Amino acid sequence: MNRFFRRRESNNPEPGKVGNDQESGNNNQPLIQIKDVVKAYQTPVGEFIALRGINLEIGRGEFVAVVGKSGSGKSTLINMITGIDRPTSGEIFVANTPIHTLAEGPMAEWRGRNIGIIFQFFQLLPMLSCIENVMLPMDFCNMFKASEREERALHLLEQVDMVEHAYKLPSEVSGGQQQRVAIARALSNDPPLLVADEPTGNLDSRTAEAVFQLFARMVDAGKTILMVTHDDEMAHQVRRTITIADGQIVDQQYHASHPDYPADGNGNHASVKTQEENPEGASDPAVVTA
Amino acid sequence: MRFLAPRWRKVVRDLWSNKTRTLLVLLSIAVGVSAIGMVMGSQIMVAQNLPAAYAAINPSSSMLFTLETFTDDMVESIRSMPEVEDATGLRTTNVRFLTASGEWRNLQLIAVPDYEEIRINKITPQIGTYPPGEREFLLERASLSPVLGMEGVEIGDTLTMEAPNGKIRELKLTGTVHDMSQLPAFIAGAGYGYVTFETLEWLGEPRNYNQVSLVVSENKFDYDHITEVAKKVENRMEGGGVEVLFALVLEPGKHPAQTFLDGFALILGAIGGLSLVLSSFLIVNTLSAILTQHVRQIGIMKSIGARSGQITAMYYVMVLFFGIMALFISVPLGALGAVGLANVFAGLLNFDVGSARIEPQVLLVQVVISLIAPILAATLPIIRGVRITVREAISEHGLGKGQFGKSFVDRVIIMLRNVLPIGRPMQISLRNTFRRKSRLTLTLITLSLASTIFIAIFSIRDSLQQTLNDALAFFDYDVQVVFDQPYRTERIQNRLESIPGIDAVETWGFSSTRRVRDNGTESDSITVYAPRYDSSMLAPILVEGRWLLPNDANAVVINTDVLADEEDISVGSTVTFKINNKETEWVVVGVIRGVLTGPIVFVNFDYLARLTNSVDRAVVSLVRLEDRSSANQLALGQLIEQSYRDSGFRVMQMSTIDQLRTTISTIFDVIIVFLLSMALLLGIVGGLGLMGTMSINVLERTREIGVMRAVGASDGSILRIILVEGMIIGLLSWTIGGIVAIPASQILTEVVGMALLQSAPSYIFSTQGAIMWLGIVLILAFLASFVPARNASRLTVREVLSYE
Repeated sequence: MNRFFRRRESNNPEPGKVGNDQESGNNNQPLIQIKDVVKAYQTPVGEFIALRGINLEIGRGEFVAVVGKSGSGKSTLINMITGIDRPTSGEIFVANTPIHTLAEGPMAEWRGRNIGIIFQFFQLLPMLSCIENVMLPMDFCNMFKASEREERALHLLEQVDMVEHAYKLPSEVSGGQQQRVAIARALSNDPPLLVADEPTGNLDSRTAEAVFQLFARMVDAGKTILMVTHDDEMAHQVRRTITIADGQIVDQQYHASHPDYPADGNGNHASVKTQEENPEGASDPAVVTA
Repeated sequence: MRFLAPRWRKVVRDLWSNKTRTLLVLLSIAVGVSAIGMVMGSQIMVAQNLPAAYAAINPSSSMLFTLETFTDDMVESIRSMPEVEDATGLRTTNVRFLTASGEWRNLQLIAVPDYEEIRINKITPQIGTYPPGEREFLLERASLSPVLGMEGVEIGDTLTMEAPNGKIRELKLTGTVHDMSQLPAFIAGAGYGYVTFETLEWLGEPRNYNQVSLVVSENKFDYDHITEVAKKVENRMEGGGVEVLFALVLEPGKHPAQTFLDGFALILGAIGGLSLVLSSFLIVNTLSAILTQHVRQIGIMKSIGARSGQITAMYYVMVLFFGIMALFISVPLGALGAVGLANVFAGLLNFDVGSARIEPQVLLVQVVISLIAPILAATLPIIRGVRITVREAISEHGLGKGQFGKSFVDRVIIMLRNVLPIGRPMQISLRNTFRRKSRLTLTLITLSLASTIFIAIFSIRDSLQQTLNDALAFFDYDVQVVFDQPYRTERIQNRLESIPGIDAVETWGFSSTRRVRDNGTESDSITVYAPRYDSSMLAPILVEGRWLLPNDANAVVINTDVLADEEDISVGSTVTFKINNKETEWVVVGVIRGVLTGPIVFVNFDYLARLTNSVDRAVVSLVRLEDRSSANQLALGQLIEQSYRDSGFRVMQMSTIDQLRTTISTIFDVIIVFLLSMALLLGIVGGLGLMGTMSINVLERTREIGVMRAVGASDGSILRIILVEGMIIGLLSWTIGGIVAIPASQILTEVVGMALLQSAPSYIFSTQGAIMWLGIVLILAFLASFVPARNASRLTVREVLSYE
């Protein structure tokens, strides 16, 4: 079943395209590297600093949750990684691409090929059917042969159990089903990284659980997933949870599924030092506290 | 649609899912492109048909009208002149005919020596038999009109006619002909009939000619040369004892009405261009709205890999689609409009333009305009819309867009609440109006321009009407009787003594002249009026100098139309006029305003009578009535005419001031109706623009409307807030348009006046037009905002607050 979660050969290969774990042969490098990222906004009442010197590394195949209160900076962090927003200072590398240097145009194409984004409100284009929504990224990024795109979209929809609704408009299916289609769309160009901004925030718990399971399967298939969530339970089911408060990473927790999980024999998770405590390397899992 | 890539499917669905908006944009483009097609197409049709049709009749280079009649010998003599290629003699006679309603109407009978051998000013048989037989007549096709008293008249009918000598005869109408050389009958105010010389004799008229038409042998398109030849012909005729009344030389190779058409086409072209500009504003507004609505979608597309260029291409394709679809509407619509418009011209000037067809050059212009104009108009909104970043696009939260409160205008509006007792909903409407200032500006430009043009057109109408009134007030009489020959003034006046209801009778001298310039050349014909010094039937508007005094001998008062051609003349100048072939010197003592009459000079009656050897004789009888109503003018006019005829006067024509007013008004009305239809076109464009703006405003504020509902606003309140906003925009446009109309009306009135009358008309600003447009614009504003307002009032709180 993971066949379609893996990248297929593009008919128009792009040098900037990031390979997945199996193909890149560069597994030692983290997929995401964030160095001293600061983001400040000018507001009518003065400067607002959304991110205060973030340092973070995320390895390939990781399933990471970003948690924090509303306004803590988690969505800003996600936007930095997806290139939707630019840092005021600092550097961001995704698969060795310095995305903070990319112009808007190349950024869009790079993002289309390398990152699948899943939004809280699904954000399917309402005038296109589910399958057309899934085919759209392939169309924009000229990925896969035109004749193959529909078949691929159907298979992706099949993976998310939406194949029978393929030709319906988004308005004709439920919220949970729309999110499944949005996930299929995110996988459309077979990107190594999926970024989800509160993907279950608008779903009931049963549907949310189903979506989460879908994510887990994708991680198993080699995808890296970075997910913003408010759901504590869900945040604990991933391998790593990053907590953000006031624009800083205040806590990182590795859970049982993490390969570097420091076993304490009781099955309890371990916390990584915060940036303040460990300015040398916030994501260094070797430095842990009980 | 499966062959299309998903992004193009999106474009198609965007177009299809918003049918109203798509239609609005299509119509916006189509209105402008159709207008251009209509104006250009009609011009081409006229340009293709009129000169060719006119050339085909072999138009005369000059026509000379004589006081005395002449025979074939004189025509032969003229024809033998080396400067003359061909010449032909005609006789024109004014008769009266009895209409079905028992009224006498005028008809000009033209006798042609040989109908099979017409070589100059050829006529073409239309329906019925040709040529006319004895005691039969043919009608010029445009004369068979109810306006000219021919209601119910059919080929085969017999009409009762009265010749100038009083003989009553029955003539059978056997067919119609087309004669392009004549002034259209409805403009002349009388129809044209064609008879043989045998029939003319039977009517009791002499068999001789009183008119000669000629074609020059060389330099056929040289006006000066033709004038020179006409002069030679005139000399030859006068040498042969035939006094020439005047020689008519028209601009060679051009239909007499071509200048009028050119002026008119210029105005129409300007209006067509204007509608196109306004259409473009609509496109800018609507596309800005589409892109505003699509901001989030643009963000999503960018987030899944779409580059700005790809998105730009999608919207350009959408715009191209609008252009292509609009083209499909505009081409046939423009062609139909063109043939309609060309037919209006053709009807006015009595020529044929053929059926509707699509001219390649018009099509080319329409294609270019309908594709280029929307693309140009759309470029800024597209660039702006596509430039938005993903973060901006997907992080749009909160209530409706449009800043309010920062600018000076906003602060003034906020302050208004302290000055005027404005309720809260009204304040919302007022502030909403100014939230999207660039959109408001474009809407206001569109609607204000429509206001300006509408008010200006009404001002043109009123000004033309005023000019006509001035003209008619200038001659303060009710009935004018023109005789075929001079009669003693005492006899003319005494004849009417027994008729009750007459206030005053005057007899004026009448002649024609030409100015002999210092370099020896001669001016066009100028009419000479010689009223009595104590005439009460003249109300001249003096521009400069003074009016004639009783003791003035060679003093002359000229009108401004004379100055138009003879610019060097001023008060105090000594000028040479040639009257009855005698050159005399005159001193210009005053200048009066010209009023639709062409060049006229006024001299004292007695002095002219001495010069023309017609002391105490006149050809014109002017009568002022006690009851000046139009019905009485007609009734007494006929009685006066009959009375003269019964006493043996040869009456050439009787006309009333009211008939003159009706004839001129008819011409003006045709023009005004036409200009008004163009104003209506602009009104439609303005209305479409407002509708677009209001729809966008409501759509943008959907969430805000939800909030208002959540805090207790009723359906009625929402409806009112939006309707009032539309009305405020309408009112603003009316105010701006009205202010601009004050100078614009004057300029346009002068332009139209120059095109139609060759002189600046009396100008008045039409307050009636301004008030009427206020009503129209408020109705338009109401209709344009009603649909969006009703839709908004129907939204539920849940629907709008979950609106994403």
